[in-house]
Amino acid sequence: MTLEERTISFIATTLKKDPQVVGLDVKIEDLAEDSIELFGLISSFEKEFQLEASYEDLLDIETVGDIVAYLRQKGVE
Amino acid sequence: MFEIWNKTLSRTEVSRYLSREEYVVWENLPLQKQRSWLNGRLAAKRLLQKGIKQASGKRLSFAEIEITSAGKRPVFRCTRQGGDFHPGNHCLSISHTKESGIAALSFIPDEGLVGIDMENERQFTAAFLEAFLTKNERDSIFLCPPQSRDAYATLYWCYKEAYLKARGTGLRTHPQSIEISMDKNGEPSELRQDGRKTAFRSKRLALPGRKIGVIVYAPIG
Repeated sequence: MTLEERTISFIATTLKKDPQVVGLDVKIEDLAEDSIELFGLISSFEKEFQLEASYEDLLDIETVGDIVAYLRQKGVE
Repeated sequence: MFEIWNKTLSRTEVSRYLSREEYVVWENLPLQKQRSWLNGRLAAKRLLQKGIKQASGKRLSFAEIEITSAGKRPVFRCTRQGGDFHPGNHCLSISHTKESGIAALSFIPDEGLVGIDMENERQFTAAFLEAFLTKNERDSIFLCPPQSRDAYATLYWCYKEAYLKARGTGLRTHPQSIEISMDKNGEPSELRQDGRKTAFRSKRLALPGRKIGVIVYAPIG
């Protein structure tokens, strides 16, 4: 599974969305129903991908593709 | 002051309620976000319409009251003269669910800054509770009867988000940096930010169904 596929699968599962709608150019805040879902998703990235990420860094991420790029930058493959 | 909106508009009606710029924003939202965004905006416009009428006797239409964003805070302007009602003296906050929107307005010199939040009561996972609540807050939830815990946890979220909206940061400030002491009825008695006690006032809203809503007022600075 590529990092893109893994990220899309994780977001789709966490937000209970069809993976087909979780495109790399889709904004994360457009996928989350509300602020609780958005926070829940952001908070769970560290554990899921086993990385040390700052909360502020994750908040700056806009799209699914941005998340993939961030994870890659953090050495996740 | 606060206002709630839950009326559904047709697409034709929407164009009469929004300014041209607002309509463009609304049209470009994902379809599933359009209704909740609109609910929040219309609650705010009705609230502002009432405030302007009360302060200056002028009745502006919804389209003449334009709401945009300045960072994390909504701001408004009147495209027609609003008399003695000055946007610079007022703080506006908006929250919305799929079904309804809610807005609060404060007169800054008297009431300070305002934040409002509304959520549907929900079940949280243990991991989520650990992510947004402090240990003291998590312990207090487990002192509640089991059937009240979901509402209590949702209330914690609402107070935190409303406070952070009043502060102008929203969730850019981590919710765990705020610690709220609440009694078993959900009344907050103390709020600390980064360990320091902070002045605030709050009001819990009576909302239909399993909706939970709060308004928080915070001083400037």
